[in-house]
Amino acid sequence: MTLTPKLGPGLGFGLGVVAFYFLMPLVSAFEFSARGAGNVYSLEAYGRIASQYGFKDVILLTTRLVFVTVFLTILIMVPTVTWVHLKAKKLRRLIEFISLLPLVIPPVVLVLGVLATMPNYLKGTPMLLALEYVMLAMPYTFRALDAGLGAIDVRTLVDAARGLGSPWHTVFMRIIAPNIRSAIFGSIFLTVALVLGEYTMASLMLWETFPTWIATVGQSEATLAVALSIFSLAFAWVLLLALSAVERRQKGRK
Amino acid sequence: MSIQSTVQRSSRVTISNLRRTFADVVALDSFSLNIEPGELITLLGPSGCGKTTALRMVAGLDVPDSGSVEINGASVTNLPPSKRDMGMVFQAYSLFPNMTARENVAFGLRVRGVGKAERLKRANELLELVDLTTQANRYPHQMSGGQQQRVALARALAIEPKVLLLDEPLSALDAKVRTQLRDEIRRVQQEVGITTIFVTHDQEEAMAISDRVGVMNKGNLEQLAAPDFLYANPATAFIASFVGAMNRLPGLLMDANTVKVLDTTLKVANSSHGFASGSKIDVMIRPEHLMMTSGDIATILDRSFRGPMTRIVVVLDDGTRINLDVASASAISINPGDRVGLTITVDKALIEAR
Amino acid sequence: MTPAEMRADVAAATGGNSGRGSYRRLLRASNTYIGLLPFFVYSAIFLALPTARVAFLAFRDQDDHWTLSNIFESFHGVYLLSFQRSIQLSLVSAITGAIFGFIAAYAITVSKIGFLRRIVQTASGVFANTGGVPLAFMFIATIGTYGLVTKGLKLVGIDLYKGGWTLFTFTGLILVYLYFQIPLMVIVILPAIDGLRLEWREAAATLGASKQQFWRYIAGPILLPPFTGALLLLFANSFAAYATAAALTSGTIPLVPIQIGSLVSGNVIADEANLGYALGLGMILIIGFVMTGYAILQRRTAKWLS
Repeated sequence: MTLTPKLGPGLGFGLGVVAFYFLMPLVSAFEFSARGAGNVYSLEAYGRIASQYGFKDVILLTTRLVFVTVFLTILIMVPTVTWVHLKAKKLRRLIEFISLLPLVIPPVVLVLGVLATMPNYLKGTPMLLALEYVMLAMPYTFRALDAGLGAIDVRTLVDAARGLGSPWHTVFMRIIAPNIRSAIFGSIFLTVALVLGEYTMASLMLWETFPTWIATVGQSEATLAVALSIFSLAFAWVLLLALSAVERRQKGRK
Repeated sequence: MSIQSTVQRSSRVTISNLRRTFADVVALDSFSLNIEPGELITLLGPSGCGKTTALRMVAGLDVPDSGSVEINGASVTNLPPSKRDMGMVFQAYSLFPNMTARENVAFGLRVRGVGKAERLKRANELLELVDLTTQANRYPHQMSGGQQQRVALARALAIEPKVLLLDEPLSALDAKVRTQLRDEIRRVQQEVGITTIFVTHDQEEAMAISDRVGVMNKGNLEQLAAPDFLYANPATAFIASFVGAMNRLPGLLMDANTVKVLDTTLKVANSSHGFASGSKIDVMIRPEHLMMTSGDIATILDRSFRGPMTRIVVVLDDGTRINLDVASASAISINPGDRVGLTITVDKALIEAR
Repeated sequence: MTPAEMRADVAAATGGNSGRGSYRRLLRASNTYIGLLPFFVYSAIFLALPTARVAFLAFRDQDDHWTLSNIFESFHGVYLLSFQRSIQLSLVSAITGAIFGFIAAYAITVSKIGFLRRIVQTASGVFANTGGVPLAFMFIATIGTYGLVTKGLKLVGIDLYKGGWTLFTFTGLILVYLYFQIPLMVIVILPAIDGLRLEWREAAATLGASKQQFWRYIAGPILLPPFTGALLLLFANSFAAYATAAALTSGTIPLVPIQIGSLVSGNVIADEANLGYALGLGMILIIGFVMTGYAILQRRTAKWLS
């Protein structure tokens, strides 16, 4: 009789219920997507994904959005967070606060403001989505990079390199970037997962990206839409799993 | 307040033949101990020696495979910790973070159904006992480690326990606070007159505050004695080297009872050592039992000033290093590289395999 | 350092009146901020400006005059109902999610099974970010009219749809929201549960407390702030969610985000054009309020459970 709490039947049952709740939709969705014509199971729906109307355009647009968002995110956030750690430690709270604001301003409200402020030539291009996705990803990218830079002593590294006469861009590319590589990868994974799943802004700005396209398909082809959903969830999960692997490695190093 | 109000009927603790195994490791074996009312006994030993296991069994936080614990002749072996009336102080961080110091101290009375006014009054008395009245309304995270442990002590005493159990209460504190609190614990213990078991791995701590010290090794109680006796007459080589500083000098066993070391013949202190005559063994000699003389058997290696005494390190020609202490005043003329002789100033010593 | 130099240093530190000092400080300040300029400019254009515009337009009418009618309107009729519904939905899904999430987190903590903990932790990180259209379709495949669970229950004689219930109702939506609410709870509450020290249990026991008293006086009060904080976070999470509800209910349940969405899409009566901004402002205020509470409780938790 020690006091260490144990997994009793009550808690075990609770955990079982929760596990059932999470596994059942996965099983059901797969079963649903594999329902073929005339009560025969087949994976034919997955084969039809690529030939579905609009598939090529959607993939092309979504891919472009992913690249632009990731590029801009890295371009803005990596120097910013590095700068915070190097020169403006006192402003860290402020920057963190700003980067967390997208969690308080929901996308559905932000899109209202965006449509009311942006010039027409921006509203006419889907790349406006990418510009806003950078904002939506900021809470996650800031945290990932902040944690990555917090784990190393940037100040000392940079002072040492500068003391040896390295110019700034060399210091950045050779000293800082390699040390926060996993943090950068982490924020890229998060950004990609976000862009691939973002529905609110895309649908309200009337652009057909992967998530909005699934909704469109679902109106006529339920089986295919479920197959697409599984496909997109699986893709996002792989990204997020990769992220948690990266995070674990980072923790291990610390 | 009267300290007397916190005085318990001092209890006698009888621990018989406790045994505990974890998986296939024997953590504690045939552990028996009698503690007189009002006595402070320290269980001393390296980590993993079973001292904490023994203490936790007295508290009821761990259950023995066999054996018994009796308080004043009544067995508590099968009682849960909440029914044993033991006051326990843990290593650190055991204060409830959601309660002030006063509420922490009053907690034991609260769960016993003592009214609010009464229990807060008692809590104040105990905070006074540990000299913390000014901190009564602070939360644990607002107090230093030493203050937290004093609150923990007051909390343990508040329930007027039969026995006070202290599980390395000083190990998380820094050196200066540790000495201070150590003396404070002894003072409070004597003022209250409570039977106490103190667990530590720090021999200095054990020697300073205990009535008796029990040295533990690998699940066994190797020797139980008053501190000065223990220091002067360690029963085993393990105790000899664990309690106080000890040198190992190369010696030759002449017969079962005599050993030759540094050209001196000494009596062997451990009777059943099992070595054959003529064995080359190590002889245990304390630093203060060695004197430097003029001679040519060792070279001075190093010296370090330690206040009134200076620690000298010499090396024998076979490479054995020896520590000895000399009065600082006479150490001035000693320099590394000097050749010296050594004299042993005791007539018996423990021996151990080389 | 000569005394003169020291005086100069003190003067600079205490904000002495030397003009050169203040110029230097200005220079230093601009040096601090210059690297952050891109970040500030970007956030201003793509976040602050649009948000400020929403707040501004919430108080303007069709003819660009100041008005309170949008605000007034957002508290009436179907819009008031939307706020009520949104808050109800968020409350119920937050409370239910918090309870089940807590049970799961507590169970994996006390189980001491390392791999179970790792799996649940990783899965929570993944599921908490699952939402929107794919989640909606997954549940349609599960307990939609033709879903696997629906069919299975029918086999054992339970007809989910007999009483007129559908997945597209309030309770259906909650069932779906729990799929991201429970994992979020697990992520947020795990550190707090880990922070419960065995020493507290043992100290309480030696002081005479029963298990129930330990929970009532110690574990309960200690976990209350982080639990409440998590509850607030879950509330905000559900309150802001648009995609899942939009994909699932296509507007059958009036929720604030859905109302805003349909106002954006132009399903709007002419004189209500600026109403969406008032609703948006209301959302920001509610979420901001809730998140502030969350931040305060987090700080309290950090003090107790560090």
